Amino acid sequence: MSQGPFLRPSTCLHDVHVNPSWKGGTTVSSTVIRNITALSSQLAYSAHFVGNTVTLSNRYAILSNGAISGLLFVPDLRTNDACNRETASHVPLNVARQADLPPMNYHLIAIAPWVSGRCAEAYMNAARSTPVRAFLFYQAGSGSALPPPSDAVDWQIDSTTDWMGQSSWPVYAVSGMVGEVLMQHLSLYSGNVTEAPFGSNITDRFLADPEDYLRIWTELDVGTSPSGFETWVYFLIILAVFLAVITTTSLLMHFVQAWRRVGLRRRVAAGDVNLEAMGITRLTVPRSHIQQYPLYTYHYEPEAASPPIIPGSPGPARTRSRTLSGDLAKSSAASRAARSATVSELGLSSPFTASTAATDYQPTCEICLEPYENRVTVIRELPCGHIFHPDCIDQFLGANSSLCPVCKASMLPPGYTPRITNAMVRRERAIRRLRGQVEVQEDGDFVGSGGPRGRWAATRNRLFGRNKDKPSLNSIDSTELQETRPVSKPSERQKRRGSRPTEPQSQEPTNTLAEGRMRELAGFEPDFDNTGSTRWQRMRTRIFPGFS
Amino acid sequence: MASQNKRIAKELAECTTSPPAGITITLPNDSDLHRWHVTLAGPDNTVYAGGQFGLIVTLPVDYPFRAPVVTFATRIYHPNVTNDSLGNVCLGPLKAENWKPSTRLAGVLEAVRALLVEPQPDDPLEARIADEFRQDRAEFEKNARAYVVRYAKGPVKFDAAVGAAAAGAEAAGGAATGAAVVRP
Repeated sequence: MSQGPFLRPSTCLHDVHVNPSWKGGTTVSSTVIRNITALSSQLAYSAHFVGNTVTLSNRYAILSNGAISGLLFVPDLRTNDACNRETASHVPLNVARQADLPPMNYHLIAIAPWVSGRCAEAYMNAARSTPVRAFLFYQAGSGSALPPPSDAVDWQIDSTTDWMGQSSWPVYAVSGMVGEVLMQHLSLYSGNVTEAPFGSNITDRFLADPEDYLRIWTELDVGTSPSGFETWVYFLIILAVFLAVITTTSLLMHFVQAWRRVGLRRRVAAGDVNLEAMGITRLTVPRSHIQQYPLYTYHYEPEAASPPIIPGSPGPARTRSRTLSGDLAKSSAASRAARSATVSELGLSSPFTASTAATDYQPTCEICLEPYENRVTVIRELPCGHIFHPDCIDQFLGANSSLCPVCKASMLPPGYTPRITNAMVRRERAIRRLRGQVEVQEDGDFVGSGGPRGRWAATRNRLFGRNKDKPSLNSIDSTELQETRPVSKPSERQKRRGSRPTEPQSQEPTNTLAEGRMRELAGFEPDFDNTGSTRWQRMRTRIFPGFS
Repeated sequence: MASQNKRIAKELAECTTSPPAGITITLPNDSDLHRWHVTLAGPDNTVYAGGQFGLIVTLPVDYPFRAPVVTFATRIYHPNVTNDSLGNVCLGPLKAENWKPSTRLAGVLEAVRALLVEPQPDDPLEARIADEFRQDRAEFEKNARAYVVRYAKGPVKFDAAVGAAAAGAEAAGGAATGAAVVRP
């Protein structure tokens, strides 16, 4: 037996019904139920009890719109049952019995006084042969107080039989007063219309046949089942918490990401980071800025030694054999002389430390490979000293890249920053971490590196037990991690870099999981031409920027 | 566009008149300068000696500005070449961030040849072969020679990888036209 916490305030609606066509069972098929109280509450009986019900057993409760409804009646005990006598004082003789109800399969609600467990059992046994939907008990003479809870001793049945299991309907208890009122009205509305209160008025008003029967229709509003209610609440709470967590995380990540974007933009503007040289994104130079680079007429005075034809090949220092028209030639000469002249072969070495030679002698345009004609061809000179046909270099810088086609120096105007995206931030961070790791390994001093990068590398070193002396990661060393920022030990790095293209590197396997992940993050495939990400990935990135 | 074709023609002439060692170049379609069929002889004193390797070089429409795509048409057992019918090569100068318009195809082809002389197991495409190269050189050499005997003898067939290379070329072309539309 279970009781109350899940039982919502209950109501019992008692309506009087006229059953105009039923005359003793011969015209069953045309039975019609009319709710008279809905038409005239003055004439017919109607009551509404709130919060007066205790659930004794809620098994088999078949609800429609949260209510159980049916015609009210008192089950017939066997004639020789002692309970007839025991309950006689509470049950008037002319209450509506099953015989007084239409012989249809109507929904019924049984009502009986609870005088003893044995009699209650007898009533329920009697009700079992009828289409009962619910059973109402009341303790006669207990007043208007709420009935005792279902586990109270009042509702004990001294029987070994499982009466709740055998009854295929729920059992409720109402207060004694309500039960008595119901019982009294049940005796009033048990005959035909003319015997009921205001019977003649009802006959006149509703054109009811005087032979029709008025019965009490009961509705028990027991609400939804408690377990379902709680499940929904829990589900909603979990959902709300889940959404709140996601929203908070998303906002936090957006904030962090915005903060990182600002930081990256500041470093790009300061020239600390070259996004394109790091392979993070493709940039182009504004047309107006390209136009500011000077135009000259190519002028070459051959001297004694014939210069080598293949640019980019190592050779002895050459005398300066190209002169520029205009007075700008003088000003650029000094800077050019100071430039380093290490050979860059096939782009394998860093463009920033090893700018190519041959800014002195450039017989052909490196874009179209056409030779310049002395004193005829107009050329454009970039700040790094390399010269090209204006058509070629304008198209290249304006639509393809921001770097010099020969030495990969950045041609972006100082302080220029492109729109920084989250993807750029992610890549830049990954590369910076890698770079920090490489530096740490080269310096052999990860404690002194300081800053988040050093700490990160140190943590990783501890976690993965890496051998510091192992020159791993050489495939992604300085060539791919270029930054214009000066490195701590340039001589050592340069040595390493110079030996890289031909010298076979360490034979030790270097594949730790984390390292592979870093490589992946630092990989250059996805973002150069950002394609191939699925809709789901794009959505995920939008909600959780920086998630990688 | 015209100047770009001119550059390709110039490079082709350079490569055919004075080709890099062990390299011969043909055009499968004379009117299409953007696809080269290259035959690379396995360098002497390497496990690939005696083999003839087909390379397909695909030049994007905006060639000197974008890197060419080089694939092996002949199967090869090598840490830096995918061991499948695509034959993708991991070549430093051809990576998007390393590519410079001043890099020439002759140099690229020489870099491929250098890769056969000196595999780079630390930047592998085939991690298993790279491990074998580092740890069990004898086994690697045996396998590589077996591949040469099996795939790289006789005249080079370029058909096997043509489909893959064509797909790559289309992708490159698509990206290029897309960029052209975005930046008028």
